[in-house]
Amino acid sequence: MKPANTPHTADAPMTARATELFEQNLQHFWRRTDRMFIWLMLFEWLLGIGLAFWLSPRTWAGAASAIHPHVWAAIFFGGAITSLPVMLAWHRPGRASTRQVVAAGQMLMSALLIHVMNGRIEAHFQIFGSLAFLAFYRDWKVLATATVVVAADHFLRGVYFPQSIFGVAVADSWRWLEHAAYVVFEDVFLLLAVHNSLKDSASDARRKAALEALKEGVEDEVATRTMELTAEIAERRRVEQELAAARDAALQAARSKAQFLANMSHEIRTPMNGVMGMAGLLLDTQLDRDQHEYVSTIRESGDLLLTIINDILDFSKIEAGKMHFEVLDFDMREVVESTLEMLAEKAQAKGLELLGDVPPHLCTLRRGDAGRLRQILTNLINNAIKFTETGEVVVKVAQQNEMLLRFEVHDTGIGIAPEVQNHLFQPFIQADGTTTRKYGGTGLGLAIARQLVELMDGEIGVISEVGKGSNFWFTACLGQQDIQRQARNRDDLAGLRILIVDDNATNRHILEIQLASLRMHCTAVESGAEALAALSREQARGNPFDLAIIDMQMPEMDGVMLARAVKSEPAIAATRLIMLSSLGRHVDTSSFKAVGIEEYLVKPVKQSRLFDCLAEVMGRSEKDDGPHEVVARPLPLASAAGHHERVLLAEDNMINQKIALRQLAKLGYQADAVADGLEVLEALERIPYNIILMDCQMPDLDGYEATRRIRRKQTRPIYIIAMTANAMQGDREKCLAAGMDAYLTKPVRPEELAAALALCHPAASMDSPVDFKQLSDAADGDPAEMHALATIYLEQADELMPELAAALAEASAPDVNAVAHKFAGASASCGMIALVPLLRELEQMGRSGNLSGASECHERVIAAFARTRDSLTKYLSSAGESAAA
Amino acid sequence: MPDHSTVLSRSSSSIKKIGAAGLWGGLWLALLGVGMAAVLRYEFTAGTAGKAPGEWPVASAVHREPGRATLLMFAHPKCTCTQASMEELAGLIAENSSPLTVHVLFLKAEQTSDDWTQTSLWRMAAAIPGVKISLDDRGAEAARFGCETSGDVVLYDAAGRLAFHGGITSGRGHSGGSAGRAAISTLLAGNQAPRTQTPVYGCSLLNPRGASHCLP
Repeated sequence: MKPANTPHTADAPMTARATELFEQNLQHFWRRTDRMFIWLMLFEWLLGIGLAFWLSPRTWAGAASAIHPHVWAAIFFGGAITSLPVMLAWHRPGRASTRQVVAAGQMLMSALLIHVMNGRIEAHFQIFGSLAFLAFYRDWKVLATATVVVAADHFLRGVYFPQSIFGVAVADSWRWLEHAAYVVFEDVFLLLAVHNSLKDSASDARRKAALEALKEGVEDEVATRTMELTAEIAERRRVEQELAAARDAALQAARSKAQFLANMSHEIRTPMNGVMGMAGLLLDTQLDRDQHEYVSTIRESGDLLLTIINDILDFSKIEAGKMHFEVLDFDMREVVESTLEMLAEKAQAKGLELLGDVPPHLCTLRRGDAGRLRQILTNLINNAIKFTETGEVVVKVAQQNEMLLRFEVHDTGIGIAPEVQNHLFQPFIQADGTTTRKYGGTGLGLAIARQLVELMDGEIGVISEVGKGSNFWFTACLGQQDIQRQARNRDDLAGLRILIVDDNATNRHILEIQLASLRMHCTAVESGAEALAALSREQARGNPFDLAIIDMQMPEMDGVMLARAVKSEPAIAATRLIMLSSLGRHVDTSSFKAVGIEEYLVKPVKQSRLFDCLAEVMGRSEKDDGPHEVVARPLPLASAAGHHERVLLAEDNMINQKIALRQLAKLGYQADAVADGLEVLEALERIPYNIILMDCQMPDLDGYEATRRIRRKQTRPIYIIAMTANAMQGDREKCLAAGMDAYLTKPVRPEELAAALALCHPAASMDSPVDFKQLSDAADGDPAEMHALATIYLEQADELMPELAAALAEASAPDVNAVAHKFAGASASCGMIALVPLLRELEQMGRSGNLSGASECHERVIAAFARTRDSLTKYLSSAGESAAA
Repeated sequence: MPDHSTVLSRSSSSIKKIGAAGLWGGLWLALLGVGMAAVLRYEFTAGTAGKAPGEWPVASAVHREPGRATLLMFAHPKCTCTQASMEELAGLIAENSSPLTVHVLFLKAEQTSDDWTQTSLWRMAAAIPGVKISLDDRGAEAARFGCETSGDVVLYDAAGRLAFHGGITSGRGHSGGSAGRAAISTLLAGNQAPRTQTPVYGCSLLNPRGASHCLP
């Protein structure tokens, strides 16, 4: 029996394996059966001995007896029969010769047992049992051998000793065959069983071989894949290591670059501040026209250079992942409108309409980084203005979902070719080389805008057509504030009838929307003639307009001409007029008054400002119908007279810097800007700034530490105003503890800034050279103590003044330093605000050993002291009178 | 490829192994042949047979019923070989229809108690219907009837003449058909038997010094 008789070539290995398994299985059967026969034959041997002892232990002769020969036969003959099969099965299991010997031995053992059992017929069943046992070998040859042994035994004994087996002296010569036939009869069934068993075994072997082949195939596949994976993993690890090394190198390079840029920025900005500061100082001196122009150019160039440096610094910050975002409440509308306002002048300089469209229904109270939003808008609007020669720039805001706002900056400029649009937001790339030459710029602005937008979870893009203009858009995730600010009560102005006169359709549309949101009824016309007609028509209907908003620049009939025409027509002369202009502060407001215009607004018009203006005009009209001064709304805080104090602005955000500078300029302050605390210290060494607007969070050296250092080295009065986004509880105390004098939170409102600055120069703002509040604080609020303190101060001052004069006369710098220091300390403690800065100045001179200019300063000290003494004397006398009374 | 000398060496080694195996096998078979021959020789070696008297001995204490055939079997109570004879006797009686008196006389050897005879063989004989059992003190009756081996049977016809003398098994302790039993059956049926004397297989009824015993 074989697992497969005609193996296919492809199956040959599997067939061979099946054969091998089959043979292994047979070998297993043979060995196992050999082991079983070892025990069986040993058992039979012992059984034979036992039976012999039991059945016929002794043989007798009369009264005498001896061991029965059966016993000896069982012991020795049985031992002889058992010996060889057991030995072979023990030492050579599984061999054919062993099986054959076992078969012969087993049959002989059966014969012995039959004899030992006195030939009982039942004992013959042992033969059949033995045959069945031998079938365990599953080897027909074994059964054949056993059968042959039995047949041969019967044949030979039948021939030669029939009495011994058939019980007769003469037996039929074929009788042995009858006995053998019974054995063969059993053999047939046993062989059938053996055949079936072998068949099953062969089938099992084939199945197992197939499984093994499958398993081997799978294992081969797994091994192959494992090898491939191992190689792949090794390769990947190698690549990862290379990538990690490259990344580390890149990170190091990026850090180095960022550090380099920061250093460079700082190093460049420091002298630039010097240049710009000095240029500013120079502008304050008497210069002829050419000189003024040169110095102005220096300052403007410095501004431009600082802008570029700030761009590079911003870019490097973003690249290095160090751009920090503030999340604060802000009014998005205010951001858009203030940005438009900031850039209005530039647009107006090019004759462009700069308009904003923030839908009134839009929830504008948001959370995020207003400064960064303003930076993006500024960049896009700046670009729009830069690349637009005629037409308009419109900023639109729409809400995409609760969080996401979409901003669009439309222009009617040169447009951008499609092939370059995709590269626009990559760093250092502009539309083309000629763009750079013609329009300038670093090419970083849009890249920075893109990255800022992405940091705000938004997207940025452009839709543009060459020659028709561009629409730069971006989205930004700006969460709504938890509690909406209380909207102002606008019901008072609801129902007003307003006529809009503007040749610009966009502007008309925006105004219509804004006025509609205020629940006013408006009609828009595009020319002066149409306006006059509308006013007359509605007047005739008995439903006159309350107010007309007139654009200044219109073809044929401009705003002034229209106003004049309206006021000259008695029927409609009562109509309130507001002028809408793109000319900003350069308009001649005196001409407006003459033609009956009560207010004027500068485009782009903030909704809040529009409301204020309308409320002002209508309120005034209700309270006072007399003539009014025309007020330019965009400059409500503009100071006619400039201040002499030099202001240093420390702010690392370029846009915030620009806004603050602009606000300061409007307030009449000349200011220079630096970007961090170190620059503040360096700037102070060059220029004696009186006021510092100090941002708290700045790179390198923050505002707190900068203030502490300033206070440690301070030789003259310096007023430091904290300007910070930190509006949490305790931040104010932290600022004051660092030595700051006032505290403003971002976004800084001009009014608050003006108020804070007003506190910086009490001597200038008040006539008194003495801060009596401080004197009172020093006396702990006790009038008697205050009186005593003033008296003591005057006594001490009377002593120190001659000492100071003597020190100066002797030109002894150490003495000047010592006396001035002592005098300044006492004066500062008692609130002698006119004296303190002068004494500090002298103290500084004394400390530096340079007394040039000290005489002039001393003269100012003498004058200030005279005023101080006069003030204190008056106070003391009035206090004495009060006490007497 | 192995060289010629290696092949020869291997062939020589195989031949030696086969030769050794053949030698051992042959020796084993020879040993078994000798053993088997010894067993068979013992199995089929008959005991000694005396000469039975032609007429019923008058001196016998065994009562013979006139007109009936009488069969006597002499048995050693401890001879295991005689169990086969007893089985054959039982069969013979069972198939016989002629008038027959059967006696089984158990040897009571010298200086033995009565218990000596109370064996399984005694109980076996007692269980055969119609069999008269008696003791043969010191083998006197056996000697009188010329029987020296356990299982020896004598048959006297109704007239008291000896009809048969011998064993009724074909071998020692070997049941089954035998010439002795066939002869008795034939004689009881009133026919002439081809043999009237057969060998007896069993232990000796005589003491060793005067007679043979079971050992060949």
